[in-house]
Amino acid sequence: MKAFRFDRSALRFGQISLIVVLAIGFVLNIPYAIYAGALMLLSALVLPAWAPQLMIYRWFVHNNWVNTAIYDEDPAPHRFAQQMGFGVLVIGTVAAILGSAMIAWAATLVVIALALLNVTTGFCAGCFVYAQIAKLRSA
Amino acid sequence: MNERIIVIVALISLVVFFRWYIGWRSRRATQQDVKLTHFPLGQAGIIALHTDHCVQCERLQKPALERLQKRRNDIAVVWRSIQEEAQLVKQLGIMTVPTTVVRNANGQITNVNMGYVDEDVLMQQLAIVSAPPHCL
Repeated sequence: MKAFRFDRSALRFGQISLIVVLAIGFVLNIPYAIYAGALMLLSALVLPAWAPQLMIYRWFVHNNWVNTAIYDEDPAPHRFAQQMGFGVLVIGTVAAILGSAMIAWAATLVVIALALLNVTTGFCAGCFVYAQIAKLRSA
Repeated sequence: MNERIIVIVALISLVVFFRWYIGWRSRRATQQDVKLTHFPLGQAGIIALHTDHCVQCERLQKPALERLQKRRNDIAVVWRSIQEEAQLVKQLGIMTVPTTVVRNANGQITNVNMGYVDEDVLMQQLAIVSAPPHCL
């Protein structure tokens, strides 16, 4: 089995950064926060070395303000969750550009809620849905 | 702006509540009078529940259980789908996958973890119900 080295601290830092950016954007009604959130997720997926939140994280680690938490863990499920989050924020971005503030902020709140759940409990929304479907099929 | 702050606070409260609710459901599940017979009495073990398309189950929980078994080869691990264990899922009120049900050597459930837990957490739970062989 392939061995992975995954930094949970970096993931958590990225999630918290995203939550903060989106929450501030929502409170102050700044749609650019949705675009920024989408870009943050896209950069983390495509070019993690250049993702702004991860660059800040590495700077924090370099200054010993944050410790790494490296585990033997496959990053695939986390990337999948980031892809889902990015998809929802794309919907929010398109809605914001087209002038539908309600849809844009609703999408943003969904991402904030699921990211908060994941950070605090490790909860996987997709897994929850699969479990409910499987239970219904069994019944 | 005040309304939006209220929305954020409400969202955070919902998340806190959900976190408490999962913990409550897990604790309640351990109080159910359910005897697990997936492996023989006298052996502690874990029943891990999954579904077919659950990425976290395959890529996180399963490898964590494999690493656990390398550290504790006296612990039995059974990997079952929710459909195979429909009765158990209903009795314990399991809400999500992966879920790991820790059983002591007497067949009693001691922990129900709804959601992914790594091998360190499982080792701590197992240490309470079953000492590693070299400690005996």
